[in-house]
Amino acid sequence: MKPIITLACIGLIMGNVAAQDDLLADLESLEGPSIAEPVYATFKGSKIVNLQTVKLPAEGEGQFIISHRFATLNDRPLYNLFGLDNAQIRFEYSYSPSEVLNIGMGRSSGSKTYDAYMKARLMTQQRRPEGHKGFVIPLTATWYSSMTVVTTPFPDNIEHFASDRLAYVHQLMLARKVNHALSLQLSPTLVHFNLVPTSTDRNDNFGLGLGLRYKFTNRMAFTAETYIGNGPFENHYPATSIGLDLETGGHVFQFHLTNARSMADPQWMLQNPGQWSQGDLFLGFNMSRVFNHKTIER
Amino acid sequence: MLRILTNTSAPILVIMVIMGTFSLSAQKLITKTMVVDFYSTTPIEDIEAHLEDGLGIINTASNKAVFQVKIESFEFEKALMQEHFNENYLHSVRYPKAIFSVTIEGMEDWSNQGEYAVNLVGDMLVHGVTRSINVPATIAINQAIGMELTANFTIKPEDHGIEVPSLVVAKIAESIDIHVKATFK
Repeated sequence: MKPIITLACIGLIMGNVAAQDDLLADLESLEGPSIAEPVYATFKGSKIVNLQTVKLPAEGEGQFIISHRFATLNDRPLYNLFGLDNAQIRFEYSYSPSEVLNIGMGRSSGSKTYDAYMKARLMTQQRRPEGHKGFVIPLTATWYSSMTVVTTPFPDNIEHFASDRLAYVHQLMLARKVNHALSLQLSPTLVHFNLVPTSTDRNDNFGLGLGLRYKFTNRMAFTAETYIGNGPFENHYPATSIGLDLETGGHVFQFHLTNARSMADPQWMLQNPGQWSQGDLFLGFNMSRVFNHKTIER
Repeated sequence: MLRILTNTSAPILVIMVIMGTFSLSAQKLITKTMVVDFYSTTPIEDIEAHLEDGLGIINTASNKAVFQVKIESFEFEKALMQEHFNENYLHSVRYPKAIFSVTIEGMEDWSNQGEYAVNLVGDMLVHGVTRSINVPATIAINQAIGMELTANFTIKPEDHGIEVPSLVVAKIAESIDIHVKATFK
């Protein structure tokens, strides 16, 4: 008899102990199936240097970006303080009326170019939850379209239509956040010039933008971008830039070294005379500030 | 009496053991809608976040309890704050959950209606760092509503290895106020 009572007592105690230890396991059963969550912060800035990224400001956010590209580094760098005596300036403002749409306007000095643009998020990459075998979206895709108006006088003394000043850029941006540090982007691009130098030149020009960022601390990242493609303009070299992203609260500071001084689409893509090999390099920065125009009930 | 027990004890005891295990599982109170608010208050900026899908289990037989929140469930007024919270401070992809495993001290009888001041004593796991914690809480037992638990306490980001860069140190409070409220059924 005694062994049975002992056994029963042990059983009761064990049941009790198991019940306590199981609380965490019970919690897991409460959780329900894990779902694939969207990734965030594939890129910190809405641009890498000149190339747009898949990132757009959140709903209700406005974003102001001021950018500078200083004068060339290879022109008496000490006398001109590495070009800092002189700068081309771009500023732009955009607003996101919804989570998936951003519209903005900007103006770039140099060619005195005004532009309007829109970005629309098409899909968002998802993270694979632990133990999840099904399909997760592997890429974030965003569409970008811009229209630019050059307002400097035509150099050729011929009468022009106003529409001759226009050019368009359309981009499908495909990005993948490979891990917490590394993000890659491919941007198949179509550039349309209303006016090209000669009648045999193409108005439509396809190209490919490539970008990456590598986060090496919590708030700092190395970035790089290049644009592969040729347009109707001579004396063009691919715009290639490297940069450093610094994130502080509502600001993103981006410092870079680039062979493209122009910041306006599509000039930096297809009308870039600067060559890395010749030292035609420019220091520059983009500085963004986010404003919350409306409080979203999240 | 003794003889009856002797004669029938074996099967009865077996049944007791089985019932004991089952009744223990019946002695668990659960919630899937624990509300957690946190407040970081500084002269420069007030930051608030809120979630409503915290989980909790209380074993009323042993007075042990476990609470869990998904860090990404915290919703902020500003999207950018939420992104920074997850990406730069809590690293919520690496440390997706905060878990609070405690013993409820000062709670003797779970069947009587009333309000009880208790202490939650145990471990708080946030950002992959476990800290011992002792938190005063209130348990209100009401036949109609069920069991309601409220607790207000503070967490120091520093204690859990959450770095606040010097640039924003004035904007983020040294102690974060946490308010927890949950109805268990």
